[in-house]
Amino acid sequence: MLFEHLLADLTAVFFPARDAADAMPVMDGPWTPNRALDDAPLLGLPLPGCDDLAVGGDCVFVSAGAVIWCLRGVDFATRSLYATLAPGVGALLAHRDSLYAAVTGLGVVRLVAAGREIARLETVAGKPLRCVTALAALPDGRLVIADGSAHHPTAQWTHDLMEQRASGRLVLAAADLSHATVLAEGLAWPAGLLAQEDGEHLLFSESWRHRLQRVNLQGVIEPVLRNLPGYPGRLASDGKQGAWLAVFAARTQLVELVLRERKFRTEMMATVDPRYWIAPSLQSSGHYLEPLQGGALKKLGVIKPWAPPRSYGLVAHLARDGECTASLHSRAGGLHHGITAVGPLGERLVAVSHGSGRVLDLGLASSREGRP
Amino acid sequence: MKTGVRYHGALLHGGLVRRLYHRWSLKLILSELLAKRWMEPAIPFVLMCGLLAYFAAVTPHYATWANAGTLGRQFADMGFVVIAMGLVVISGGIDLSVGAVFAFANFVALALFQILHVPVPVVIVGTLLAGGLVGAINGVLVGYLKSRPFLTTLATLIILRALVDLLSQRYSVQLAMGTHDAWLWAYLGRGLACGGIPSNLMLLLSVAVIGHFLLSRSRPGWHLTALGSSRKAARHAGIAVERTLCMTYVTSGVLSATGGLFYAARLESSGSDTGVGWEVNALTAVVLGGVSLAGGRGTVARALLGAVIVFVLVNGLVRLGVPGAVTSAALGALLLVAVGSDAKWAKNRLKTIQKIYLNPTLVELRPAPSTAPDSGTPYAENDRLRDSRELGLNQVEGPEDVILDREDRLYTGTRDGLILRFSGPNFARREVFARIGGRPLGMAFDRADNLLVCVGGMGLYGVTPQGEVYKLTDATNRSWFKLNDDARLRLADDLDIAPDGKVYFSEATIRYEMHSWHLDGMEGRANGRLICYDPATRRTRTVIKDICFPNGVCTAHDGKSVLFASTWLCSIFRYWIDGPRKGQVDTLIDDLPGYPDNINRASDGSYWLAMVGIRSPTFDLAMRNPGFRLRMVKQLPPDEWMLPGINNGCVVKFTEQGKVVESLWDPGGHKHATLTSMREHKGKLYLGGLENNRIGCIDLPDADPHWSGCDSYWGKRETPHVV
Repeated sequence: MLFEHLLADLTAVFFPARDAADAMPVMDGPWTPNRALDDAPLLGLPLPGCDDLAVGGDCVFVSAGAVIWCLRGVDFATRSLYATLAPGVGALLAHRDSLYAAVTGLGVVRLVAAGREIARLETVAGKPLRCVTALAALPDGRLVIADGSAHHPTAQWTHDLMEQRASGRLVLAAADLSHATVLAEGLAWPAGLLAQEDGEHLLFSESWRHRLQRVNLQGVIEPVLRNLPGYPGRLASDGKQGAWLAVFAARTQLVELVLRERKFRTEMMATVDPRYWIAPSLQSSGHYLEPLQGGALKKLGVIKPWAPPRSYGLVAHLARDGECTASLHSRAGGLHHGITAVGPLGERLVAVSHGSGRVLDLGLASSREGRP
Repeated sequence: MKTGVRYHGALLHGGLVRRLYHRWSLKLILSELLAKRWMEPAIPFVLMCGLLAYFAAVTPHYATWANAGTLGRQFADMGFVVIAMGLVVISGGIDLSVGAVFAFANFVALALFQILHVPVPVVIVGTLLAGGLVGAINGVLVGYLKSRPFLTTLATLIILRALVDLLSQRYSVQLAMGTHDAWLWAYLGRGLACGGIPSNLMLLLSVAVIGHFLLSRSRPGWHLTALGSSRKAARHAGIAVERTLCMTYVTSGVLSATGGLFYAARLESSGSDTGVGWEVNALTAVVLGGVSLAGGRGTVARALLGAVIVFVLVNGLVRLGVPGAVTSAALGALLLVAVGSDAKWAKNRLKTIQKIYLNPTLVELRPAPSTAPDSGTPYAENDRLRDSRELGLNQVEGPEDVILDREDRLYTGTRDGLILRFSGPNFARREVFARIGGRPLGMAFDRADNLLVCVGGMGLYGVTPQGEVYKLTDATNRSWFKLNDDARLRLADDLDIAPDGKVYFSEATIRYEMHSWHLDGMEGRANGRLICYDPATRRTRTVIKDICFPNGVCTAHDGKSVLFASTWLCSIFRYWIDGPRKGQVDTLIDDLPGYPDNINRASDGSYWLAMVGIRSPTFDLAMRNPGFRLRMVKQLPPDEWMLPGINNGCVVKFTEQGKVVESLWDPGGHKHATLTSMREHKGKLYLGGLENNRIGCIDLPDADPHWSGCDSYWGKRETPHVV
């Protein structure tokens, strides 16, 4: 648009409060930063590239790269290969006697004992299922699949964000992966799913619009929680009708600015290596080619934890009404960034930090839930 | 050649128009203009000139000497009243009774002269006393009894107006019949002072000039202004608030009475409409001229400027035959506009300047050689600085530059304004060598072993071997056609000394201060300069203007040229100070992959260069998009702004011909983030960083183990200088 900046200026002058509701919130109240994620011990050994986890039987399944690992034993230190699915595995769901896994760029497969594939879903409503970000099971046994984008595979999520796409959808399928139908469309990167106990509703996160929504099985959507301080990802039940939410990156003012700056963004995407974009990230190396922000300047040998984060670690607990009650953080300069999954393991709470390639043991889940 | 320094790099893409648009920014001039105090009455001044021109064009015989005389005489009466009002408004109050005092004085003067036939000097004194008395009533009420100026003077206005009406009716016959005359009386009313200027106008101008000096250059004037700015602060400062306020109203009354006296002598009539509505006219004039209604801001000249506007407008409209009601309405509308813009302007002026001061410009850099570890370029990333020894860890705060003397002692300047000295085995002994203040940056030893230091915020200073601080210079020649005063040194950055003793030093920017140097980076303009101080003549002069953040300075090994780094342009230039090309500038390197800082000599005849940061692709992109940077600066808090990649340590070495031969890295700046300087000394390289808490030291196995900077500059000395 020719006068987009002028129009934006005029809007700001004449309607100063128009975007107040969407202004980036500060992390405050239950979102107050802490070091809980950085202080958390590891569950098992480091697993570079780990992405999602699922608990089935005595085994904790963790997807990492093209492999699904099974962790078991004392402290889950014993690691065995469960299945290999090239080119890569993302979301996992242990449901009844099967393990469902999202295969990058291909779709969803159903695995049974010892990793044997017995079903596969690759196309829904004539469109390939290339970007499965999350899986969930309904109480009636059916499966819900979140397809993040029609344009990019999961690994290129920053492209999808920077292009401001909204081509994700929710898919309903039978347990044997047949009868797949589209439940909702036009979503901006749906990345987390949680079936609610009434069997009628489904909570899902929409990352690029920083919100949680609820959809019923007829496809009617209603808002639950909006304007989150980060990009919400996968969801897990806390067993008390509340939820655990993995926030895989924090919003920053600079990224929000770049998202408003169409010309700059287009040029950046065309000319700069995606590793060095001004975009959220699951991990930051501190490499000198990455964009640096003023607050992150190393002074007297220290990076301040309040520095604008390129990557961030954040897990939030949501009460039954969807309100956040507590959160666990790993701030700038911390290690356990890019939390892509969180969930209960018996009494314990575990989280997957994609950025550091570690599964974290967050201790007693009930002690992390905040207000009763 | 100088254009090379300015335009270098900005040649890659984008049309000429785009480049010129970013080079000459109208906003830049505007922001510097607005920052000037004398710009405040600019709009009323233009308005006044416009009105005068308009009426001169539409009214016959307007721009004639005779008309000017008539108008001047009529204007002077009102001028006194406006100055009266102006003084009170500057003191933070308001005097609505000026019109009534004017009318009252008119009556008193006429009565004294025509009815009582007293001598003219007595008439003058009596009239002024009457005005002063009314002013004193106002003053006591407002100053001592703390009543509100608005209501108090409104009450005075009503009472006085009624009194004047009563008296005028009662004595109208006697006044009308009065034929008493005296030459002084006539002179007051119709006389011409030196060169044909009406007597009253002459006195008005004298009062204005004296008033201006009193207000701006005298203690009572300052007290008055201080009172208007903040009564509480004025009281805390020990100003006699009550007395000053009271005297302000008395002065106001006397000035209004002076106007009334001249009016009486000129017209000799005591109509009941004398001075009616003048308080509104005076208020309009005062605010229009740029005297703030909030108090504390304004001058006599501004009040008179507004008076001319109001007078010319009213007079002109009357002459054009516009009905009086319309004129009043026009005046009221003008008052509304003036009051509205006064409030907005007073509140937002500084904010506006702040908002438009920073003007990002187009900076297009040449593609840089790769720094990838396997790239094979001399810049290839390595970790040769990772194993550096740390000296003075947590004992220094921001050692921007480091230097060693003939006795192997290590000196550095810190952000708290100290020069620290480390000595002894392993530099374990730390002592404060000198306390300069400011922000000590670049350093060099002169022939007599004095340590010369560029101090950000102060200028060029020296420290004797005994630790005594002395000033070399803190100002250079002011350049013509620059709105900002660029004589004073704001950010002297680095220096070096030529064989003839002349000190060449860089001033990084003249638009920002030490604490806001990164704003200059956001702007990317050629705001810096290279300056030369000659100790022989003690003269300072600018040798090259308009350099884009000149940083490190180093005299070449042969002493015939000075190398300097331009940080935002990622370039090194050579300025010839001797030989056939004296005075010219060459580009030595213009494709550095990072931002150059200090330059120093190396033992093998080449030069060390500290790169404070590495160019990141997104920052380069931002530098090519001034609009993006501008919006970033406006919409985001400073901690969220982009910076070049300065969480990194890198030192490179280049030859006399500008060929880079090797680089030493601390990728990610684990030990040496923001590395700004390095100094070779006896086979070792010492490292300093602007924001670091340590000094680094590494061994240089291939270097001459006996070479030192002092020897290189000033020759070997057999008997070391003894302190």
